[in-house]
Amino acid sequence: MILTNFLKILATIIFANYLDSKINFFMVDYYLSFSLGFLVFCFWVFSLPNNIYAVSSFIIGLLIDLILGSPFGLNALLFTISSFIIHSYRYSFKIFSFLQITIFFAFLSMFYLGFINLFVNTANFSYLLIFLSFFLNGITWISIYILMNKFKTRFYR
Amino acid sequence: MARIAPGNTPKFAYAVLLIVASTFLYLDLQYKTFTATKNIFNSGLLTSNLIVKNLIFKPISNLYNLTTSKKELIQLNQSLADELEVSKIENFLILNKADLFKNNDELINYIKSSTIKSLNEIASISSFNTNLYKCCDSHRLFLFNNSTPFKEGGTVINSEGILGQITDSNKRVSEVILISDIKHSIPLKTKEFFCNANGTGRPRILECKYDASLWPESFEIGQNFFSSGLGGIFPEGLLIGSITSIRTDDDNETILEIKSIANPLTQNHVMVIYPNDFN
Repeated sequence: MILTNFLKILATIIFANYLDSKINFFMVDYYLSFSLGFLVFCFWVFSLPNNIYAVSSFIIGLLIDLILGSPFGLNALLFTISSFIIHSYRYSFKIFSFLQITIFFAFLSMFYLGFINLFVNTANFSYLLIFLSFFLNGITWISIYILMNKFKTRFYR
Repeated sequence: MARIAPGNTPKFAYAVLLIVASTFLYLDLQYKTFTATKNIFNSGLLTSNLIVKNLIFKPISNLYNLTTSKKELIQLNQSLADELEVSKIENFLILNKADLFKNNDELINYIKSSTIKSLNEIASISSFNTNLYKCCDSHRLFLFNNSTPFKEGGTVINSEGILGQITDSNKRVSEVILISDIKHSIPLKTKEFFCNANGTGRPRILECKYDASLWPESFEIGQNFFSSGLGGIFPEGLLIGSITSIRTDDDNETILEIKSIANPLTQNHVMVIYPNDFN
C-alpha cells in the first residue's frame, strides 16, 4: 500500500473518531455509544483485505491511542485482533448476505466497546450500554458501508 | 453457518504484534511508561493546533470580519466573556478567602519576601476531553502553563468551587485530576462526621462509604459536605457538594452519593491556588 492511500485511510479513521467524541458526549446519557472510528477501520480492512494487514492495523491503533489519550496499546491490540478476525473470514464474507455481514460487524463493535469500557470505565461498566450499542452500531455500519464505498470509489486509487 | 475458509493470513505477524500491543498496554497501565510520550504528543498537537488556528483560520475569519465590520465587536465580546469568567473566579476567591488562606499575614509577608507575585494564578484550559469525562473513569483536564509550570498539588478552582488538583506538569501544560476521577480521594466533613470521598468516574459524583454499625450517623438528601483539610492538599471548610442519594451495599456499608457543586464544563478559565504553602 502506498503512503498516500495509507494517509487517506488514516484520515478517515481519525475524522470518524473525532465525530465519535462529539456525538458520544450526548449519547452516553442514553446508554448509547457509537464506535464510528472502529467501524470505518473495519470497513477498510473488509474492503481492502490485501492492503491492511497486521502492521498497518497496529500502527493505526497506536496512533488512535495517542490521539484519544486512551491507555497506550489498547486500540492497537483491539485493531490488530479485529483485523485478524476479519482476515480469517475474508473468503466466508463472499457467501454471507449483507444482513449477516452487518450482524458480524455489529458484534465486532460490541466486543470492541466492551473491551474499551473494561479498561477505561471499569467502575461504571454498563451491560445495557454494550447491548444497546450493538443495534446502534449495526445500523451505523449500513450507512458507513454506503458512504465509505462512495468515498473509496471517488478518492481511493 | 459458514466455516472459516482457508486464507493466507500471516498468523506469525499477528501473534508478534498482539504480544507487543499487550506489553505496551501492561507497561502503560502498570508503570505509566508512555506518559511522557503521550504528553509530548499532546503538546505537539496543541502547538500545531494553535499555529494552524492563528496562521490559517484566524486570518480568514479576520478577513471576513473586516468585510462585515464585526471584528472589533467579536473581539470585545470575547475579551468581556473572558474577563467575566476571571472576575467570577476572583469573586469566589474573595468570598472564601478566610477558608482558603488561614494565615493571611504570613501569606502577605511571604509574597513580599519572595519572587512570587501572586499565590493564585488564572489559567486557561488547554484541553479537556469531555467525551472521556462523561463516559469513563479517568477525569483529567489540561491547563496552559503561565510563565512557569504549575506546581504539583496546587488546588484548581473555578467560580463554583474546587475542581481538582495539579498532578503533573511539563513546560507547556499541566495535568489536573478532577475530584470525580476514579483515582481521586478528598477528605470531607459534615458536622461531626468525617469521610474520604472517592471519585466515581461519573461526572461530578463522589462517594463516601462507611460502616453504619460503627458510626451511627443519620443523613438526609441535600445535606452539605465541606472539605475537612485533613489530606493536606485542599483547604478546610469549602463547600464541596450535597448528598443526592443514600444506599447500602452488599457488605452492609452505607454509601453516600455526593454531587459536587463545581462543574468543570461551565468555564474556560480556572484558578490555581497554593493555600497549604502558606498555612
